[in-house]
Amino acid sequence: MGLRKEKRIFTTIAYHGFIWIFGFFMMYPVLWLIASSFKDEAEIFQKSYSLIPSSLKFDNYMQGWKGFGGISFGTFFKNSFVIVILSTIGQVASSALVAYGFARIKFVGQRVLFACMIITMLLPSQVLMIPQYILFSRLGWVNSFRPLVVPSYFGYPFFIFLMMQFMEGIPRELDEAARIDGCNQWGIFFRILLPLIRPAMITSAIFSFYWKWQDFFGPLLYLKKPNLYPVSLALKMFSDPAAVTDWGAMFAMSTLSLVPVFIIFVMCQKYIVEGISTTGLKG
Amino acid sequence: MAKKWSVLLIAMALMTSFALFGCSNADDTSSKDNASAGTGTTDTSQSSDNEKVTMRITWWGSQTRHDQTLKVLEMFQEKYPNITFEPEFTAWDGYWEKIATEAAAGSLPDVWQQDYQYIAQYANKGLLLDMQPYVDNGKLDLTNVDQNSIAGGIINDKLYGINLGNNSLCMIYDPEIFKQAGVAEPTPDLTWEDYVNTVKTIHEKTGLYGDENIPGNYFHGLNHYIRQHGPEYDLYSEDGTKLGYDNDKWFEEFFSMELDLVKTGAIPLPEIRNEIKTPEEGLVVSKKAAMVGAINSNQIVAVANAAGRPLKMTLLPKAKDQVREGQYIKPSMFFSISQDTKYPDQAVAFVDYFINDIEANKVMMAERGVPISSKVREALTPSLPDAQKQMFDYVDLVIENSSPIGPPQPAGHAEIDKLLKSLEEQICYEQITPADAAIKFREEANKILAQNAQ
Amino acid sequence: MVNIQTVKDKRKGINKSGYNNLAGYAFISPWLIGFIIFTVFPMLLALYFSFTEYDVLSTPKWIGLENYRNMFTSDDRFRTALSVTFQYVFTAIPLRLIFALFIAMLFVKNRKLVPLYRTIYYLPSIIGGSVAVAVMWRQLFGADGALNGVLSALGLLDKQISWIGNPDTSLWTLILLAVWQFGSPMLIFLAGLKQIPSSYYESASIDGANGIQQFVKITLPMLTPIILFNLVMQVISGFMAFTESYIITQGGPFDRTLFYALYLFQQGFQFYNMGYACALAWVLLLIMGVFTAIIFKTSNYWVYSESKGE
Repeated sequence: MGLRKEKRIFTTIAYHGFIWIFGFFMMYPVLWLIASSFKDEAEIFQKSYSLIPSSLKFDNYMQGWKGFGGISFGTFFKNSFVIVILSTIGQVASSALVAYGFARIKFVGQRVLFACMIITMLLPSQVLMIPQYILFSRLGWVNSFRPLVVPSYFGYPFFIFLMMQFMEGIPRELDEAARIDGCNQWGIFFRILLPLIRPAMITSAIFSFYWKWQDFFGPLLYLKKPNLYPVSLALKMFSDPAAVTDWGAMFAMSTLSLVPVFIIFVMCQKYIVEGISTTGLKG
Repeated sequence: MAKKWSVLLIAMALMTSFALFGCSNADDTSSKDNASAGTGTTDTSQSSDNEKVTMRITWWGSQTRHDQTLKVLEMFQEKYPNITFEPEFTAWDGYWEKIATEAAAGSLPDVWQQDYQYIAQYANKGLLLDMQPYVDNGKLDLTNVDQNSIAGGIINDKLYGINLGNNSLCMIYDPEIFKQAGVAEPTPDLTWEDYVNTVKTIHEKTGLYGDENIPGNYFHGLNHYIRQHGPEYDLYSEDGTKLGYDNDKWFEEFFSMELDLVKTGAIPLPEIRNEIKTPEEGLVVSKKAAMVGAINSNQIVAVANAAGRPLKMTLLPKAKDQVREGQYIKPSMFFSISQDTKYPDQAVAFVDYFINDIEANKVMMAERGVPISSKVREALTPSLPDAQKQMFDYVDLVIENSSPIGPPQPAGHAEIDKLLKSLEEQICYEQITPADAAIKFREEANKILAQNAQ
Repeated sequence: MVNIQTVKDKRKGINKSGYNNLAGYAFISPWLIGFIIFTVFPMLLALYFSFTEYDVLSTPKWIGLENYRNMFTSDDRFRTALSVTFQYVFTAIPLRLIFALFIAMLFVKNRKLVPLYRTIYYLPSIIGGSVAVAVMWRQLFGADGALNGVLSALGLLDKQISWIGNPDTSLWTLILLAVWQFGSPMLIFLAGLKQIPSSYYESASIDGANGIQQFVKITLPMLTPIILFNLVMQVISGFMAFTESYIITQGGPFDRTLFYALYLFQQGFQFYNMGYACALAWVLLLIMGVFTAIIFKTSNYWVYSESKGE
């Protein structure tokens, strides 16, 4: 008994020790970024890898928040939130619908269409930038959030495929049972599958939020007025190869820009791991 | 059944896309026709002076530039209340991708900041407005501007860009380190041999790098070296369809010198230099090198700011037996006006204001390089801060020690620049000899230029 | 293909095919409409450009297969880019997946502190594309970086080396960066692990299976749909890797980190050879198509599907 207990304590220590050692390497760059955001200009490059700023000054934050040309980071953050929240809702909701269609209903042309969807993921986005720009400028959507938001409501292959794979793990007997209870396809989707793929949807939401949040080329092309710029685009404006960069301000705003992504992750992760194992589902 | 569906679907998709592409294509060609028909003529009937107009203006730059330029736009709009500008400002990163995409969709801004690397390419495709007619009719006042400052914007005898500031390559050095090493500070007559001795001595005496980089860097340094060997030589030929020098010996000499300096440790390996992305990361700033030999003169402001101690500027080395000066005055950047603009008169009025108005230039304080108008220069001189004063003096020094600028960088330049950088790095790591690199460069660069000239 | 296999299975109970067609298309209609409007046109346009000489600034000129011919006959950088990309895909992706699965296994149980750990290990993935990552990586692996600081303190560094800029090590720092950012496959694995009904483990425990046996007999097979997903998506993202080399090395030194997507971008947006860039893109599509098809084809033999209904 004692031996077993000792062994357990040992594994626990090994487990946590291992995680903390690796965890330090995981965290170091992020901590470095945060530390740098409090350092003054000279300190950033002189004692570059130190994680402890000599003083805790918020000057960089004040300076950075002012933004560019009279447009503060308040505006950039607001724009980011509008774009990202609208897109995330659209991507997750539409992808769940489509995933159900592909995973659970047998219809004509399914194979071909599924293959088409996979193929669309294989073409590098760089060559689609110009054709898409031509399309959206012809629709008159340039200088609005529409080119960045509207396509999100038409499903996103990565998430569709992800949710399909999660639906694979759910026994079809459930569908059959629901059908016998008088559910139609919509009912099966909405009442049975949707709650069960919640972890996949939350995962998708985290990714969607993050990808849209840090997207650079989309806003660069479609949003021309600086008061429409999101944070990702604004952050690039700190640095110019020919002029002095306000590194402190850049690090401060970079740090700040990670906060929403971080919060979303912290809020959502518990839903991912709550998962369906708590529902006591049996195959 | 499945087949029928998919065939139907693909047909539908094809139809939609060709409908869209068809019209985009048609539009493109028609705008091209307009462009060629309108070249050189000034259409004043469209816009009277009192009409309210809104124009787009784009530039890249730093925070300082954004703030200053916005202020100038405000001042301009006070003077011309009927003109409203929609400013679009970004970082250098991504600027050209954005411009290229807009060009593809036929929606370039009315006025936009232009670079010497790209101007010929955009001008040759008929995307830029020729401003010469406006100079001739007096709407664009260049009376206080010398020809050298205008030359960079002239392509095939047409004026496609107005220089926003004079620049030239320079070497910035830390006199303190020279003193420590007991080496005389460089004079304008410094030769390549002197240079090599200087940086080697500094390295031996102090253990620091003599120079951060080879003077002028791989591209402009080589160009500088070639130019010194004959009035007809330049890296690119006049028409931009082939290389503009015939003797591979110069290439070999230049990069052998670099290899020698790298091997002795007098200048760092490319891996160290490549880490320097902005002026304040430079090795002179961090006191690891005595000199930075490849930098534009307007950057003295940034470097001096970052270093926080007195630095000096000097000319790139001369060749002992040089036939002409390698140094030249270069436009730091331009304003170009799109061929498709609806309001060429108003756009020109703005460019005119931007280069000639004294109050506006006092706001900008030569941030884009030394102003091209002598009147503006005179007005700014008394109030210049030290670093800017140094820059003005340096550009004056260059004017005395320079020859006219070479032909603009042709289509294909970006690719050749990459090629040369790659070869330079291979030389430094001794993956290829300078002699072999010279031959390879000639072959591949000529191929790229020929392809782009088609 | 799992899903297609499912579809192929003639299931009893479903013969109202008319209703199913209608319902199927209704469910996938968002994607289908978006596909036709936003994707098919740009893709076909890109296909058309690949047969032209298109410099972005003027109308494309039809040159047939010239771009493709040049690529395979006279473009050394194309070959370099391919080999760099293959090196990257075959090292970074397996490492990243194994690491992601391993860490996910550690974090699946809701012990104390685990939510914190999950967050810490996910952190690297949320700074991935930001401007700060370039500076940060230089702070770690540059000539004056933290790694050299440690090495010189230990007396192991005889000369200044920039791990990012050195031709022998630069690709490896990018691979390390990719492995370090294993957060997204980890998250997907976590969600997948949690989906495995705990009753399976309970009955296995009763049967006396130990941890390793449970992993091999239950976890792995139940996780195969998710492994398939991660494998396919990571291989695709590996082939399309762009941001790291774009913001950190720009492909240097002498093309040692020239990722395929970066080369394509250079051709399209820096050299203004958009036609050629499009041709490169379609060749990449074919290469990835082959890989994805192989993965899907073999998946019949190793992916377990709960919904196949044995």
